[in-house]
Amino acid sequence: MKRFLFKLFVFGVVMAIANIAFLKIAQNYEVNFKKADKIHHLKDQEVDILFVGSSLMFDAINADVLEEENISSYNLALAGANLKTNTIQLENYLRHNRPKKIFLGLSQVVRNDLDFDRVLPVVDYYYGAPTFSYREIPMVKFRWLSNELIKRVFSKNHRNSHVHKGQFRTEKTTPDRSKYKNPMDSIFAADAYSNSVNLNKIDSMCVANGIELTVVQMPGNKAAQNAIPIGPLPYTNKFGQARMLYNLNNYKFAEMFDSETDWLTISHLNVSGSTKFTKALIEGGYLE
Amino acid sequence: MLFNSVDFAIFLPIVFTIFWLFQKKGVGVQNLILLTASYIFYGRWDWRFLSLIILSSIVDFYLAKKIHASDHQPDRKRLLWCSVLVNLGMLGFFKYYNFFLDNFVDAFKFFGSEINPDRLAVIIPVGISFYTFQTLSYTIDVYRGKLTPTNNFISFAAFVSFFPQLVAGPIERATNLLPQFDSIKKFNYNKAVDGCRQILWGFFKKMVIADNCAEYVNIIFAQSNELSGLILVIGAALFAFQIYCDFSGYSDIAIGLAKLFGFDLKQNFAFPYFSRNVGEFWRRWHMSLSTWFRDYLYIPLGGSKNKAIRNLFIVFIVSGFWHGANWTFIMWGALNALLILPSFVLKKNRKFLNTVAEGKLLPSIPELGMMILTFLLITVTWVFFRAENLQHAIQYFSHIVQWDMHAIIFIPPTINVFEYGMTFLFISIMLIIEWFKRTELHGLVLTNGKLYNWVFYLFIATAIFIYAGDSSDFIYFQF
Repeated sequence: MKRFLFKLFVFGVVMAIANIAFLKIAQNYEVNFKKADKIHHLKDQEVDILFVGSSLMFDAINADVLEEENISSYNLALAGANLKTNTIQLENYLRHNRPKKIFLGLSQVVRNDLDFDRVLPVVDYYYGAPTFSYREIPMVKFRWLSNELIKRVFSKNHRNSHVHKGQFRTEKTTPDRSKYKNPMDSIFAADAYSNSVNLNKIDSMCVANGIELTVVQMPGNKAAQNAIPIGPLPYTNKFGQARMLYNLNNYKFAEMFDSETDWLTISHLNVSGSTKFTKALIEGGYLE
Repeated sequence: MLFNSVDFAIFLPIVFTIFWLFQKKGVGVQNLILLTASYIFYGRWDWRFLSLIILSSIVDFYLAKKIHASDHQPDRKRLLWCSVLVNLGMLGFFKYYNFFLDNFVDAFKFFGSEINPDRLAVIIPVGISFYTFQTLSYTIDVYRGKLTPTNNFISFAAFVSFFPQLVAGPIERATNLLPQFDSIKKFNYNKAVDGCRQILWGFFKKMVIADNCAEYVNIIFAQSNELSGLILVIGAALFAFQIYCDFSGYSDIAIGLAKLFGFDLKQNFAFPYFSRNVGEFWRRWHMSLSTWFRDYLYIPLGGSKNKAIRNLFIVFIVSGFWHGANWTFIMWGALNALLILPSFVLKKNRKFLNTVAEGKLLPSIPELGMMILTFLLITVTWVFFRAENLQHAIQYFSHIVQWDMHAIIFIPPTINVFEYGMTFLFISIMLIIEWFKRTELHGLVLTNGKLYNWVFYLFIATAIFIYAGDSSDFIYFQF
C-alpha cells in the first residue's frame, strides 16, 4: 500500500510540475497571455484614447496610423475578452493609468453577449480572487491556449505573429466569402444597451474618472453585417442619462473592406483592413 | 455522481481510505463500507430511487432463497416469475410506460379513434436497466441450480449496488462477482496499479475523445438537413467513436475502480472496431449484455437449434428496446440482426474467434478490408441509434446519398477546425495504442517498473486536462 501511495504522490508531483511548466510556457510564448501580463504591469500611462474590446478590437486598430495624426493610444483589447472581462480590465487599468477617452468596441457579431458572465482566464489569473477548484489547474484554466501554442510549433504564420503597439499582427489573410444575411435588419435595440450591467459599469467608471466614452459595434464579415444606421444611435444609461452608440457593423460602413485582402479570419480584420478601419475612425470623427 | 466530477474526485479517496483502513475488521465491515458508499454514490443523483435498488435487492435475495429451498417445481417457477415481474415491472413502468401509451394513442388514431390518456412525468432512474438485469440473472441462476443463494444480505446488497458498475455496467453475473464479496479483500499492489492505468485510459477515451466527438456529432446531427454528404458521413463515423469511447471508457473506469478495491469485473469491450465481421463485433461489444441475452433469452428460446433466425431477431430487437423506448433503437437492433444474418445462415458467424492478426504487427490487406467494411456497416446502424426518430435517420441517409459536390468542403461555422483536427488525431492515437494492446484486457496494460510508463501517464493526463470536451454525461446513463 505504501508503495502504491508513494507512486500516486509522485504522479501528483509530476503533474504539478507539468502544470507549472505549462503556465510558464503560456505566459512567455502566447501573445494574449503576454499582452495581459504587460497590461497588468502598466503604470502612469497617459494616452488620448484607450481602445477596449475583444479580438475584433485587438486586430482592428493600427496605432501607427494614429501616431501619424499625433494621437497617442493604447489597445487594451484581448482575444476572447467579453464585456465582463473588459469591465475587470478597466477597473484595474484605471487604478494606475488615466486615458482621456475610452473607445469601447462591442463584438456582438461574434455572439459576445453584453452580460455573458464569464471572465477570460488570462484576466482572471491576474485579477480574480483565488479559489481552490479543479478549474484553477493551469492546464484546465488555460486549455485553449494550448491550441495556440501548438499552432506556433506547426505554423509559420503563427510563429511570426506578434503584438505591434497593442495590435495582433500576422501575415495571414482569409477572404470573406460569406454573403449578406441581414441587410434588412435595421432595428436598433436600445434596451439591450440601457439594461446591460457591464456596459453601465463601464459607463459609471468613465463618469467617476471624467473619461469620455464612445461605444461602437465592431464590424464583422458580410454575413454578420446589418442595415442598422451607423448613428449616433441614442440609448440611456441606468441613471437615465443620454448615451450614443455607433453601429460600425452597418454594411455601408463596411463597404470599404476588400473581401479578398482585408480579413484575417471570420469578422477579424488583418493589418490592411485595420489600416482602413483606423483611418475611417479618424476621418469619420469617431475618435474626437 | 459522475466519475468525471469533482464530487467523485473527493468521494473516491475517502472511500478508498476507509475501505482499506478497516481491512482487518473483516469482510462484513468491508461490505458494509462498500454498500454505504454505493448508496451515497447513487443517492447523490436522486435519493428517492435508492428505494428501487433496495426493493430489487430484498425481493431477489428472499425469492432466490425460497426458490433454492423449494423442491416443488411449480412453486419454484412461480417464485421465479415473481422476481421477473418485479424487476421487469419496475423497468417497464419507468422506462416504457409512456412509449407504449404513445403507441396505443397512435394506433387508435390510425383506426379513427382519438384517446387522450395522461402521460406520466417519470424520470428514468439511472442504471435501472443494468441493476435489474444483474439481480434477475442471480435469481435465474439460482433457479437453474447454477448458484447457491447467499445468506448474507449485506454482501448481496453490495453486489447489486457495487458503485463502480452500478449505473452503466458491466452487468456482472452473480457467479463471478458475488463470491468476491464473501472473501476478505487484501490490497494487491499490481492490481491497484493496473486499475489506475485502466481508469486513466477510460478517462482519456471518455473525456478527450467521446466528449469532443459529442460536440461535433451534436452539431452535425442537429443540422443534418443543411450539410453535405461527406460531413454527414464524418458525423456518423464520429458518433461511432463517441459511443465506443464513451461506453468502453466508462467500463474501463468501472473495472479499474473495482480493481482498486480488490475486485475483478468482467471485460466488457474487447476492441470491437478491430472485428472482421458483424458476428465478431457482437462478441466484442458490450460483452456483458450480449452474453446476458445469449444465456437468458437466446438459449431459452431454442438457441441455434430451434428457429435460430427467429431467435436471432428477437434477441437483437429486444436488445435494441433495452437501450431505450424509441423505434430508433428497435430499428438499430433489427438492422444488426440483418447484418449478422448472412454469416449466421452460412454458419460463419463464429469464424473469427481469435484476435485479428494475432502475433503480427499489422493486419493483412483482406483483414484490413474486412475491418473497414465491418466498421462501415456498424456505423450505418449507429445513425439509427443516434437519430431523434426514424424520420430523422432516414433524412440523414437521404442527405448522404444526395452527394452535393459544392457543399463537400462546408464545415458548420460553429466547428473549430483546429480542434476538429485534434479530435481526429486523438482518435488515431487511441486506435494505434489499442491495436498494439488488442490481445490485452485494456489499452494501457504496461509492464511494471518501466520508466517510459511515465511518458504515457504524463501524455494521457495532460491530454485529459487540456483537451477534455465540455460534455460530461455518459451516454449509457440514459439506458
